[in-house]
Amino acid sequence: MESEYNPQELAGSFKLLKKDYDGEESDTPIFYRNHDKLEDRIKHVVQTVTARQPTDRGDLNEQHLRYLAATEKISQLNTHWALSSRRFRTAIALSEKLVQNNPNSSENMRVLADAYRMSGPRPPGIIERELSGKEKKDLRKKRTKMTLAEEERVLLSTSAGQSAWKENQRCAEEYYEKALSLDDANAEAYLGLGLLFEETGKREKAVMALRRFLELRPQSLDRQRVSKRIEAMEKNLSGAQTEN
Amino acid sequence: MKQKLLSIVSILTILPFAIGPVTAQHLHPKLKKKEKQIRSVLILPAKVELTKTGMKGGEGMMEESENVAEALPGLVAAALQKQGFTVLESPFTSENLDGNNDLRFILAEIQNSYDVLGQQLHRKPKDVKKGRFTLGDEVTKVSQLTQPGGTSPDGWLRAFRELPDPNR
Repeated sequence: MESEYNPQELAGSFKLLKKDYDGEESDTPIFYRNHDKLEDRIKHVVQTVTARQPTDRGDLNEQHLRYLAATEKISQLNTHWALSSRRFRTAIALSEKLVQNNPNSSENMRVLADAYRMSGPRPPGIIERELSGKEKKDLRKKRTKMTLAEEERVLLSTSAGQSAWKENQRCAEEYYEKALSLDDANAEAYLGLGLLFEETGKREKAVMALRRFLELRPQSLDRQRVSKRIEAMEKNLSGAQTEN
Repeated sequence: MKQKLLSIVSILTILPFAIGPVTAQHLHPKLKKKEKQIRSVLILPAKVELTKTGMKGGEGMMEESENVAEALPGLVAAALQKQGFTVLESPFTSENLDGNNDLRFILAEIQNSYDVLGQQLHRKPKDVKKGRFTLGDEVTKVSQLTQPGGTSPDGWLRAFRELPDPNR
């Protein structure tokens, strides 16, 4: 409290141990998640902190906002790492929180859009049947057995996967547009939008978005792969025009 | 024209200095058919975790791990150069990484891609021969870091090996 931290965050750190957005927890959860005393600890910390903290809510809110502002970049990075580690639902949950805390940030919107785009044919939240022990076991097995591309191919062959993919595309496009309406120089949003259009077969729009990305970030390390993608799409487009 | 090998993972399942000679090598079909060739190689910093296992369980060997991690790239580079490969100067030296968050981020990103793909690779290393594994085109980021020197890597190599304790 003296260091201007919101003491409620202490209980928050215990609560984090219970989070399992991607259904990774096994029947015998990792140490501490199944610790008998975890619930008691949370309760005890909340009670102690509530009894000791100053009653001025204004101060607490200010502290909370300062904390969120200071950790925003880290949370954005956490989302990135969740995505690259195939924890798509965690990424969506984290980025939704980011947008909720600061809806005027173009970067937060872009991060959320990325999370939806990269989730592909996976439903954004854990579905009820996935909460069963057997289903969780199957999910873990699939994750270890299949590469990302293989997993997506299998999911896309189901109607549930197809509809999740369509919904995720719609959300991703919506959030990219929002990100660009907040900051039309957000290069990463153009990159994400371009990749989304490419995946959905809207090649002309994809080329335009990716070109805009290169204009805004000519020195980006992504320029080589982006240029190659543009080249390939333009080749396809000119091939299609010749056929017509 | 120099052929670039992107998005293809070739895996050596044993390190050159490890116990005995190379026991298994799985080549991507494009390499086997000589459609693509690896000429220049970039060696990423090694991630080494040595653990002492005893009656009380596992015990980390931080210092030893660091020493091995430091010496390993040089040994691998020497072995590859002996085989005729050009080993590119790594942008990921400890001096460069120190204080350069962007570079550290890129390194962590590429190492993470290997780790994620490693789950399937460890299970079925022979599937490299079927061309099943790819790191995607994001690895080109690393190649651009080496381009100022004139050459970009044709491929990326990651070696995995568990070394049993010779005293056990």
